[in-house]
Amino acid sequence: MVTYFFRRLLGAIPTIFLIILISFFLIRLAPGGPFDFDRTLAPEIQANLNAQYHLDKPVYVQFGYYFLDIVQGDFGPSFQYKNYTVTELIVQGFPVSLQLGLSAMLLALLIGVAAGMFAAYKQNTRLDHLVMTLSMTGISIPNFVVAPLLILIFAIGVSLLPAGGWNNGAIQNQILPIITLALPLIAYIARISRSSMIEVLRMPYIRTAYSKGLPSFYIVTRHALKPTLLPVISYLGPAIAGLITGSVVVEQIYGIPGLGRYFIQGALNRDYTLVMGVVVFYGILIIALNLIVDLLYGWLDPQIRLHGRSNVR
Amino acid sequence: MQAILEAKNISIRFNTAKGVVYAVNEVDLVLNKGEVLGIVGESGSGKTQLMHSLIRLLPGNAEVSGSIFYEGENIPDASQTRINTIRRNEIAMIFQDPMSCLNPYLKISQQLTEALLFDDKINKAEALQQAIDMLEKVQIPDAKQRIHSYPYQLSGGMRQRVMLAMALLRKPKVLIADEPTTALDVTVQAEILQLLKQLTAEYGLSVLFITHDLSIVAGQCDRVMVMYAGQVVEQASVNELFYQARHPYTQGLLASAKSQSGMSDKLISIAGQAPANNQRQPGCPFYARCEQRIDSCAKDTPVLSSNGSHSQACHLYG
Repeated sequence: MVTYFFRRLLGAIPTIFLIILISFFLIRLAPGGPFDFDRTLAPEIQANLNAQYHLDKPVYVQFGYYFLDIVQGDFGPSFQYKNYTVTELIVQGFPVSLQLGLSAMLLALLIGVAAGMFAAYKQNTRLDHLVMTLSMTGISIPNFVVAPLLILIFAIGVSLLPAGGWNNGAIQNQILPIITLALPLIAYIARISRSSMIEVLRMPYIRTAYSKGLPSFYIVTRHALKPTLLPVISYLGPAIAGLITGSVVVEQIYGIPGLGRYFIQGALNRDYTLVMGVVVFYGILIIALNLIVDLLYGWLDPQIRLHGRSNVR
Repeated sequence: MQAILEAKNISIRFNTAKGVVYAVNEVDLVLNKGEVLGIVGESGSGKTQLMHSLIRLLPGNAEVSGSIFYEGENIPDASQTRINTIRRNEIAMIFQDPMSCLNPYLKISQQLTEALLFDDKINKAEALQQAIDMLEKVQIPDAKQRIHSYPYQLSGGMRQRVMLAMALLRKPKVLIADEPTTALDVTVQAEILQLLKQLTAEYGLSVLFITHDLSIVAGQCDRVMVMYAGQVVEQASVNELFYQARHPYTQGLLASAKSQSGMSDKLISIAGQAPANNQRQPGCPFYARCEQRIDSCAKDTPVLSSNGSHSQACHLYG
């Protein structure tokens, strides 16, 4: 298990290097630069700024400077937010994004798994069809439609909740963003757990459990839940990536000072170091969380947990 | 002899996407106290479905008609709670494939004790001790340690022993054994059969033993019921069936079993295939494959007629 863990960590290094390499050149392909203001600067000042940030050197040399910094854990200074390093901005923004993301994930797991298992248990009844129709709707409507719709209903229509802002993380400010983020996840997880549960309920060992005179509820929760969760757990990796992408849009719409908003601001202002910092940070985060998901999978499936990887090809 | 389990006129149909499947047609079954009744038939003859119907274990798309009485109690009309109690304490079942019939995600300790903990007023430690004792009884070495393993850590034979222990732990009166040794290799098969026979006697169980292997019937059973295409074609004591088989299908089965065990040079088989079970036709279901058929076989479905304890559904015996 431990060797597996470290092997996976080592395997992540080339991935992270590729993320840095590709995003570094991609953002520099975008027209303009960090010091192109509406008001033109004197050429000497422009040259001075460029020299200070190595922007006067060829791109591959810039990459060399950047890479040397980043392996020492230094994301560099922000080009736009003067007096802030990128690390400081991430430390400021990430807790907000993390709180939203975690809440959305928990909500999605609770509701999604429960709805999916319920639908599977009531397979091919009206309730099942209702749950599946709702989840199809949840998958099809993009978050940039859901968010304004929710604002229209709950902030403007019935003025129950604020339309945006963070307000230091007050509950009422979090509700709409969390729902917006969680909806597509709930929908996906409900569909996955439904089909997984239907498959599990057909297994011979479930029939054995029934033949032992155990009641349905006990069988569903004790015998069927674990195997039903396995595909849901493997979906968590992509789900986390989806949450992060979703949070970029959602934070922008609700005006929440999270990492996603810094990312958009950074991209618009060609704040190279900030964009790079956020991309690399999220890249590492996704890799780490996927590793955790895999460990979780092993914990649920005893055959994987106790045997590790098989060498049979 | 007193009947413990009695089923009358059982018909089972499945409503599938491709239409209705007639799995079992008008079958009567009587299991007497303390006897081992063998149910023999090829795959698809409806024997497993018949067994499952006895404790209402069939899936939702099955339609069962007929009456089933367990010690005088009407099974089809019983409440679900009552059925669960009967499954826990009265009628236990072991299945064909011990690989897939134990939950791979749960330790066998949980799978052994969970039903015990439901109504017996015993605590976990006592249940665990009972389970360990039973594992020793079914000759699992190191039962104390083994009980904490997952099913995949045990061999096929071990798993079937665990299944057997699981069934017997609840001290049932009836055991339904659905081809318990088919998935095992021959040496393990012999050990499990020996064990089954010994424990059946020790616990005074009444057993329904499903198999397609006539040699197992000879060693294990008191009485045999031969099923073909969802119907009972012959029923007799083991001796009568083996020495005076009446139905041409039974005779064919015996001939092929004998040829398989090396008593003849040729491998004998019954020509043809069992009829499709998606429609019901008049006449004997074995008509197309029968070497002794007469005119009336095509028109009238033969019914079981008995001559003492030996009965058969065949026009040759009026």
